[in-house]
Amino acid sequence: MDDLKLLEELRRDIPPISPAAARSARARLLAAARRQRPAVRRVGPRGGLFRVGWRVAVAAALGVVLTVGVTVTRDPGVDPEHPQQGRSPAVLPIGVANAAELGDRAAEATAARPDLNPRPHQWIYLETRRATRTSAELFAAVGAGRVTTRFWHRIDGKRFAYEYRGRLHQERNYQLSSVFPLRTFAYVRRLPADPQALLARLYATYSAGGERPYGRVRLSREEQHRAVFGLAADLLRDNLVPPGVQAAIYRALPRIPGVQLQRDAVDAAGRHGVAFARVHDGHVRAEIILDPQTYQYLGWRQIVVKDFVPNGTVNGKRVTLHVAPGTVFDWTARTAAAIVDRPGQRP
Amino acid sequence: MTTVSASNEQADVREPSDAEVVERSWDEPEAFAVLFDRYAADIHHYVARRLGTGAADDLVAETFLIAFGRRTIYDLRRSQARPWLYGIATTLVARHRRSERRLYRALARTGVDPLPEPVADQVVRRVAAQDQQRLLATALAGLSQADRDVLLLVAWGDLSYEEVAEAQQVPVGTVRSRLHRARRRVRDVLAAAGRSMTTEER
Repeated sequence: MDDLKLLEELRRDIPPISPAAARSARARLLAAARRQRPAVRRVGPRGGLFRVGWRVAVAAALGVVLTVGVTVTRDPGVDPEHPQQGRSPAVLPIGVANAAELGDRAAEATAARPDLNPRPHQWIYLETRRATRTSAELFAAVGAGRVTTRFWHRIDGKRFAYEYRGRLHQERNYQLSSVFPLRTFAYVRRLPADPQALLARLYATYSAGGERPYGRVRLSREEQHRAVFGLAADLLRDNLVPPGVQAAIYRALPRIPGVQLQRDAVDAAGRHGVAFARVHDGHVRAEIILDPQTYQYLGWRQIVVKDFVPNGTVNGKRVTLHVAPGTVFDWTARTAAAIVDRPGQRP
Repeated sequence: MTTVSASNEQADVREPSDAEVVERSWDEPEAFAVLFDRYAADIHHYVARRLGTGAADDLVAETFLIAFGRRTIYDLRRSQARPWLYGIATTLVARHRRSERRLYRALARTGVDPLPEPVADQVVRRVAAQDQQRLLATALAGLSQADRDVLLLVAWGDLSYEEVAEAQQVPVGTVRSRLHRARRRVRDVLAAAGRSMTTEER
């Protein structure tokens, strides 16, 4: 009896690496390889599409907006395909058991980062890779197409610039706040760094007497949870958030009822991460995706998980739609972010 | 056990050697994926046999990321990267030594391998081979980490003594003595069980 021969048989039938695992591991390696190239310096985490909030015409469309946190987005800067810049190696943290633990770890990693202290006339630069929609309709699925968008918004929130077809466009009097308050850096910076206080503040936005127009609409508890999760996602995606506030957001997210850990989520640039996920009303899963090692913000996705028939009113017309499971209608990846001195400037 | 696997022989004939791939990756980082394509499946299987497929998924990814990070200090005289990669994977496995031992012990005590069953019809063969598997698992659980690493790099990783030495960064003599000790231990366990089985039958 040859002991080595016997041993060679032991567990020989263990299944081979699955195609998905192999793809994912290979993608991680390639992401690390790409990061070796002269990379865009990334300041801070955060982000995704900076949604210039051309949110559906206000209260009329509120039903729709709040149902899934979707906004009709005008594309301020659409750019030809751009090779994705560096990414994190992604080894999923084996030890993270639930969303609360993810929140804690992400908060610890984030709080250790240097604070952001931009001067009032500096600009936040965000570069986002975004899946393009297959049609202009509300809830249109995204396809295989990707665009890279670049935005600059001034720290004081008063100016805004974007790149379109290689040219820089600037907007003065950038004011959407009369309808939906812009989440300027000034707003973000003043948010509480204590998770419970932050959560209270976010919920207050959507309570009676809260921010317009929400304060005038009575929202159910479920609608409030959705809205708060969506607002937290917006803050991370559309801004650079100072580490203290960002850590508070990470700790606050798991305290929103229904928020769960999602072990493998993919952003619009194909990077794998871990996510805070919430299934809204049993129909749509929204994901805030983080790098599984550094916990930097990677991106955002909304996917329909069950037949979904939203209705709402758009431009005075009543709209009913049927959206099939698997439909992804909002998918982004932050590829660069920095504080710069001028609009158009990249790190 | 000399081991240049078929795919590597081919690689040497038609394709750049591992060392050449590593060197190219210095300027062209993405080229490193070639090594992944050559070895990921083997390394995964080796790790999965020790820790299960779930842990292996992570470990394989990590192995290649670490290897990638060290590509500039790779010794280009070593045309085969296999021992190097197995060495990294084995170091990572050691981090899980407690769970590895727990898995062997569970198999030894219950006869049921806690690692995922691949296909249904395996169950039949499993039962037949059970006793032997339990004994092997008992023996593996009782080995020191260093001895177990050497034994399994040979039995499951299919490395030669020289390659194990390279992977573990120890002299070949050390590999021989560790392997000798490990195998004697396995044989002792099998033999002791054989004696007691004969006794029972009688």
